[in-house]
Amino acid sequence: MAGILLRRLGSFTLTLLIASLLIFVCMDLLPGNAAAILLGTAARPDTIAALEQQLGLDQPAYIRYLTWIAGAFIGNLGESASYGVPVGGLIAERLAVTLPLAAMALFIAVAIGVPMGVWAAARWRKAPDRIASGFAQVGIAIPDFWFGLLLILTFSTTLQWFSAGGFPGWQTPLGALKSLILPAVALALPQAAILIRVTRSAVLDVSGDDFIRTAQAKGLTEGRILWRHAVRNALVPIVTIIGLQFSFLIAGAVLVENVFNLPGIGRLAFQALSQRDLVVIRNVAMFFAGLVILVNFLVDLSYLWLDPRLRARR
Amino acid sequence: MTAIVAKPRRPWFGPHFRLHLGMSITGVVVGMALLSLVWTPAPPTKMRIAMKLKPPLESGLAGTDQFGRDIFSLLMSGAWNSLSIAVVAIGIGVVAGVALGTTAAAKRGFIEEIIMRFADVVFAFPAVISAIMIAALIGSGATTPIIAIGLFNIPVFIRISRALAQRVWSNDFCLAAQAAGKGAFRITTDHVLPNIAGGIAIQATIQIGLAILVEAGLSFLGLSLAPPSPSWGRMLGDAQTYLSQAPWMAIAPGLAVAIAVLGFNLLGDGLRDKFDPRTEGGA
Repeated sequence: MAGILLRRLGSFTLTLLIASLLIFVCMDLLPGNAAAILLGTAARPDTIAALEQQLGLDQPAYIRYLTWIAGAFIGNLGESASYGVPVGGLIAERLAVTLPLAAMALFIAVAIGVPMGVWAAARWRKAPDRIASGFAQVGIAIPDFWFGLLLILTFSTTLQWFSAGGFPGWQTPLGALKSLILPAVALALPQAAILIRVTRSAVLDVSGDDFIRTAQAKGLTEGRILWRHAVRNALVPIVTIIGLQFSFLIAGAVLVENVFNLPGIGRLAFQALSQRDLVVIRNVAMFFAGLVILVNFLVDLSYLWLDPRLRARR
Repeated sequence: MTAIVAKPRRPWFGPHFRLHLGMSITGVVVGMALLSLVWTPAPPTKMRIAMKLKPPLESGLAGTDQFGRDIFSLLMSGAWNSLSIAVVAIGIGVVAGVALGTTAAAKRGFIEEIIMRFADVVFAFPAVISAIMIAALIGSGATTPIIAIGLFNIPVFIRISRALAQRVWSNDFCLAAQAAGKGAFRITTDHVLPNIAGGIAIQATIQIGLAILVEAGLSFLGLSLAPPSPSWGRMLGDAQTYLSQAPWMAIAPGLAVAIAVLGFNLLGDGLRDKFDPRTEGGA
């Protein structure tokens, strides 16, 4: 058990390191030096040189890389060129919007997707299955940011139940939560659609297994067999997909935050791009990539808990 | 529970309903895109300020935008732009991904480990994030979404082609070819590739749909084709400003994206149902 954990931890760290190297090479070594990008094409060479020195760009690449990585451990990620504040604080501040948004979306997606998928599997090839599968097929095709626009059109512009965007801050918790509802619903739609399909096929997959027949022979009720036996055993593929879909959830958050004008990390990345703030872009990219890698690592670990058979192996 | 193990009934629509519906929708979308190269109801980039923000049917099939451009013509040209970016991006993903994936299956060991680790790392970058990094370096334009979406699809095709190739390699005819003295490269080109091509094509169809979706998002953020090239995503970005005045500007392009994606997804699923019935309705 400890051996498996250590190996997984090792490959997790290695993946993180390679990702950071990749970002560093893209953002720091490729043509189009940070100082020149920041100052624009009209800048004089001596101005660029001065800024290079200020940003530490005159140092060798490996020193710059090590400074960045070492800084990440002590919470010093450098200073944003456009905001003039430490990037670490900037990201932490924006996380207070993005994390609750993603969590709400994930909650909505699971609350809709898993029961509908189980329902579809239990009524395989009957009307409920057709309805759930059709809903899933359409849900996957609808762009989340467009669905957000439609929600604004319906619930803000027409019905005026919600504001069309913006974020009041967590000083007013109810107002803050309310302003995250529409974006979370928009973000949840494609995720729910995918979860319906995966849950359905995972439950169908195990439904022919011997332990289901045993449960039926024991005379258990249909509901108990479905939820205690079929769904329990279908959890591994469901959790896998939640993990794999996480990168789409993040990508969706970047778009949805821009639709609803939410001051989250996605919007920060986008604003940093228009300001040509490479320090922010580099760290936000690392943050997102790190998050995806972390989630996949946790999903990997969760198998050990979800499927006791794996614990014994290796 | 009996419902789950019940004998399959013949569905009330044809056995290849998804395939046929997908083919029809994709056919219409591709047809519109090709038609836009030679004919659109109105010149898609021509501004007619006097005709601005006209609702559907009052001017053109889908109304006009803030510059009086005909939205239906913009949608048609947008279809071409969106499709060509998606196809090129997926092409990159397929070529690079299949090359690496089949290499991993053929070589095993250390090389396979490196390739799969590379796939893990690249997969950690959502297309939007790599597009933002690429746009910071080279600006926006068609290249940015092509690289970002292509890059994200490389690990997708590494994984699927490796899994498919491993299945082929376990066949006796590969063993026979090895015994006949064929090298790993020859076996891959002669036996593995022809056997995995169908599976790859099915996955590529579905990924094209996904690429259209992602490209719309990128161009919504202004990370794709620059104006005045018509683009579904940018039309949605413009529409946001006029949401209460001209809601049709927001509805039509989103519908176009959804229909195109739905078509490619149905086509991919339908092809899988037809050629690989084991994974009925799979993920």
